[in-house]
Amino acid sequence: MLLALDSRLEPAGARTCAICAVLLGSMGTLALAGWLSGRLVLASGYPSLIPMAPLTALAFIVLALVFLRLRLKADRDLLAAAVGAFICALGCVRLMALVSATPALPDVEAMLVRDAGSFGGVPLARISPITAAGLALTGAAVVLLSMQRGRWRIDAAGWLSATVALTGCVVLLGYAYGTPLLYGGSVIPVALPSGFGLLLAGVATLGLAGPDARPIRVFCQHGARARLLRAFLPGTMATVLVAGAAVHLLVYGFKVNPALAAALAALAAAGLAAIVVWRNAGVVGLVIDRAEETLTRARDELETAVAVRTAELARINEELEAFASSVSHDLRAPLRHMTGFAELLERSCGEEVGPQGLNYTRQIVAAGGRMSRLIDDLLAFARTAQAPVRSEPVDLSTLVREVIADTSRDLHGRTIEWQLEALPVVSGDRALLRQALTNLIANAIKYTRTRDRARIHIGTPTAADDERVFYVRDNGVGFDMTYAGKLFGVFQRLHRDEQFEGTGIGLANVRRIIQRHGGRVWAEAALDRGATFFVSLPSRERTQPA
Amino acid sequence: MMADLRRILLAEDSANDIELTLAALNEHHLANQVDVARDGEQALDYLYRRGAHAERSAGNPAVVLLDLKMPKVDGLEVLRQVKSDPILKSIPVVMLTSSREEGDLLRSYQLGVNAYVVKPVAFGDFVDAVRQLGGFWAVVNEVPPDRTRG
Repeated sequence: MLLALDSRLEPAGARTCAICAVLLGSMGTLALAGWLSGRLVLASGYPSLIPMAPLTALAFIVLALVFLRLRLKADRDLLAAAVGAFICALGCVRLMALVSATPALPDVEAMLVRDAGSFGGVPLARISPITAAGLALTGAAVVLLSMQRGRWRIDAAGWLSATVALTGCVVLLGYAYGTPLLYGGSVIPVALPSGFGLLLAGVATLGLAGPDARPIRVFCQHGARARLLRAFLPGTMATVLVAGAAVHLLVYGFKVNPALAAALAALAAAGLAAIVVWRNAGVVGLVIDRAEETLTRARDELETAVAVRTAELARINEELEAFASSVSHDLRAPLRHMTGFAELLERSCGEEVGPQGLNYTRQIVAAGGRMSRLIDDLLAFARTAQAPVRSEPVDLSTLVREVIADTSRDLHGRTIEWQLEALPVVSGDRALLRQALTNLIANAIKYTRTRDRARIHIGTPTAADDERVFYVRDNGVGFDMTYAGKLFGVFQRLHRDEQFEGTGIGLANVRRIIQRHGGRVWAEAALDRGATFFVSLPSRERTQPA
Repeated sequence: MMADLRRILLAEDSANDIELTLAALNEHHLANQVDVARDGEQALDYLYRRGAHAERSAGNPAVVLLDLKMPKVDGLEVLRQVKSDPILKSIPVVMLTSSREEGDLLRSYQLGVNAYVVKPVAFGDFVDAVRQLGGFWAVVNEVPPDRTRG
């Protein structure tokens, strides 16, 4: 999985590779020319320094050509792979020869330049072990990059390249600080151009690996982290290195007092750091400012949208209230007149209309009453949607006993076996919960009407230790679970009015009340084998039942 | 006792409701004469004996049955004027309405209504309601002695 990269960096890799390859090739060619013409300064860069080995120069030229070739090819390149493997092998062979001094291996360098003499205590024209290692790693990176591109190959090439570039940097640093320990110590030292060449080779292969390769991927990604790294890391590192070099130059070059040199270097470093931070603060600040601006704009837009929506909701709510009021007033008046006159007809002209007519007037009155109940229930249902839900501790056990006392008034002589368990104290709106419980218990009473022994059980599930759940179970007529989905819808009924009267709003109201408390309600039943209604309420302020 | 039986003012715009109310009062054999105002303006004219009612005999009605929703001046406004008039405010006012809206009920009580009756749909219930309020306000209730005009 590739992370998003800053797209502006994609072509930069190939360009960097090309520049480094040209420089590397020129340097190798120059060094080789120096060896051929006897002007070793061309291979050393400075008269008193050790020159680059001719084998290194040759390897650099070959590598430069391979880099230029690979830059243009995106797919598999067997020739480049072969050359890379050769360079790698060469580096390894020289490294082993120098480390173990095995004479069995062919001495290529001796064949190139015979009797080159020596530089200090070190034989000239011999490759340094550090350079050999660098060449081996570069060759390996080239092999990896010439093969089919895959995640791990690119990453491995990236790490190898970074190591080579870092080695080059350390060598250059050693020269800058005049510390031979950093570029060879007591063994064959790395020439100054070789160190520079290693840096170029490392950077070139990094460019080939592309911005997606580890470890430089971190710098090339999108996002604030990569941007800040790109902005600050090079400048900061350069500042520290320049400060160190300045101390060295002042103390050893100009023979300045070390304390003064340190002070001057610190001053220079501080100035450089200030420039780096100053320049980048502008960029970073601009980015942050723009982000804040965008955020502010988005927030303003959101606030406006919310305000518009709130106004719209308030308007809709007003319309709803006006509608409810209209239903309450205007719809009820003609209904009252219809039933009123029908009853008047029955009372004052009963003899003239006859028994059939009386039957009709009674049906008119009954239908009017039913419509009136529907209007009442609908208005109550509309109000439960609007009424704010208060939050107070409600003891469900007490509430259930109150509701049973209320609903038992119109039992018409029936007896019901009540089984009441202790119920939890919940947090909610007492009036609304009372309405929901009334609907559930009235339903249980209604649908057990045909039973000789009606049993209603109100309790909490035994299996669950979740005491927010309670149920109302009856042994009534039940219902077919196929239609369970319709149970809680407005005007949805599972029984005909002649069987069990009702408006089809009660359970819709129960669901709305429980949902407004953040809970849920569901039912289990079987036809003719009773029904169980479960209610689950969220458990804030849970306490033991009183 | 019969001399004390004063009139009942019924302020109601719906002809159907007037007929039903009169039938209900009739059913109870209420002896009081019922005067009908068809809107709030007429009701106020009646109470203040002005306009079309300038010629009516003096004396406040025993009770005012007031419909909430009426043309021109609604029941709440009539109630407000009656209850803010030092002479009229002793008249018992019963709000007769088809509304169960809590807002209307609250406003009526804030304005000092004496009773608030939601007209039941079933005529029998309506008769009972009118009987109760008619009997209470027109017969049983003691109205302060008339200190008016005339």
